[in-house]
Amino acid sequence: MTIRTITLTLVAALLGAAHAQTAQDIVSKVDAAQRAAKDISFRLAGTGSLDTTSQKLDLLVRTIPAQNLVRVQFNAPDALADNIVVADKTEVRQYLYLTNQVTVTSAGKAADTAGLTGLDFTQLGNTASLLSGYNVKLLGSTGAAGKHIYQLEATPKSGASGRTLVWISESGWRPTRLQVQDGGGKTLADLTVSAFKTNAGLTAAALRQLPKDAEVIRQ
Amino acid sequence: MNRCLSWLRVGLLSAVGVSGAAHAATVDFGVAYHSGGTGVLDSSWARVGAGGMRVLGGTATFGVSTRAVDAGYSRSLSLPPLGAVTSSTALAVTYSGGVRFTSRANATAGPIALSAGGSYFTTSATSVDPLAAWTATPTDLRGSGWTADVTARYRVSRTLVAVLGGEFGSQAQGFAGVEGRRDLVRTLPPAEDDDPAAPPETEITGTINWRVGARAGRDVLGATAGVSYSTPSGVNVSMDALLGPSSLGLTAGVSAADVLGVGSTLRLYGAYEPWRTASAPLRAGVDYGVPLGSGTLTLTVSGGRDLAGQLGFGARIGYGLDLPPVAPGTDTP
Repeated sequence: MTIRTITLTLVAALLGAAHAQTAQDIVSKVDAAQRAAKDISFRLAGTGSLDTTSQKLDLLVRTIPAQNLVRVQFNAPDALADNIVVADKTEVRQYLYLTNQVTVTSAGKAADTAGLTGLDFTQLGNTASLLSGYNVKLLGSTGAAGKHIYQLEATPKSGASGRTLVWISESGWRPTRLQVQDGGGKTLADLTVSAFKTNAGLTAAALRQLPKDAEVIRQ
Repeated sequence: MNRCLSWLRVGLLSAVGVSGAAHAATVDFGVAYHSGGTGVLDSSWARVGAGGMRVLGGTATFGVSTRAVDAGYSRSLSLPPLGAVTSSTALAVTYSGGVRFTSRANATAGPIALSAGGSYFTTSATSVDPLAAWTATPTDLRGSGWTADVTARYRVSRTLVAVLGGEFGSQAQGFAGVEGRRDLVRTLPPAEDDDPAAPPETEITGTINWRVGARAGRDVLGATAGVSYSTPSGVNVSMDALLGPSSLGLTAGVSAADVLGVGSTLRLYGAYEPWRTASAPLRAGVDYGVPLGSGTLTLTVSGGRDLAGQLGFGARIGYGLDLPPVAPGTDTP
């Protein structure tokens, strides 16, 4: 559940945007806006529940869309805190704080194993590819002209139950909130997007940087 | 040049029965000299090997030295962001018929990390690697026997890790402890488009790690403590101690990146552990690596005092050449 939450939040966050009337308009213009941004960064924080246990979720995402380069740094839960995942077109590097190791996996192999975790980091820089697995519907909007908040609903094309609601602000065209619900309408995760920035001057070298004293294991 | 590399790769891959896979491989060369030999030939060592070859979903290494032939196989499964599983196995056979077999597996899943390893040998470690006695981590120097070790790490909180483990073989012992850390941060100046209501951004300038615990077993009993300091630029300084009624141990190390050349690594270490009954009680060394051409040049100088009280030293220089990946069918010259 948590992984699906992250996936859809990343999708939403990468939605840049424009003035749109339908979900497809939003998705198309968002994709264009994503391509126009040199870099995007945001913080995703809130709570998520696994079975009956609710836990804090906090992570920092930085991406350079033109290079399909994504860096995800976990701050919470504690079990994953300080773990870092860096993905691009060719490989996925995972830093594990607990063992001070970096695993290096080819993009192809990472895609093969993505089914085990539900998250393919190699696709995070490609909005269109990520959205291909979901039906996206515009539920409505609130607010005054120029400051609309659009509410989108994403449901898996696979037919799996549950849905994800995404709120996108017309002001700046950025996602502001994400809510994951199971098939019974129970909220599994409620997260907010903050510190959303574009064109902050992020460099590929900075996004790729991992602790230099870590043991590197190539898969 | 590329034609030569292509031939070399075909030969090396054929030597271990690999073909038709798209992958990057490395070729390693190394020579060493150590004190204590009966002559120049006995004190010298040379090895050529190949690594990074895809075999059965993992990677294989193969080497031939003036003392032994060796082969290794490793395989891993990475599941970002949850964790990873890795395993490695190595076998070395000396020309005098001695065997050394080692195997290790590591698994990390969320807050838990497990590591287990073992070895069986009928010849000493120095009969395969002349500098094995003076490595930073202690090496069992017996001529034959077995070893095993297991370690479990559990992340109690973001800054606290509990550790429990044991070593078995010549000097069975157990250890337990906790590790903690404190990040040193600085506040970044606000950017023009920052949300004034949001907390200011910070960055880590350094991290202090500490650890305390106890170690008990055959011929050892004592409390352990250590502290280290690391920076994002790759500098790491550490010091650990063991102190007990009749046990004393001190280890220290310094490592840095990019100090002697872009992409270089430098590590200095020292260990005084007279409580160990199967490893050199005094060890010190310097490891240096720097990118050179299409590969990496490495230099190691180490020395110490063995269990008999004899001082010794050794030096090794090596070069690892990274071969460019080649798609299937393009190896044909």
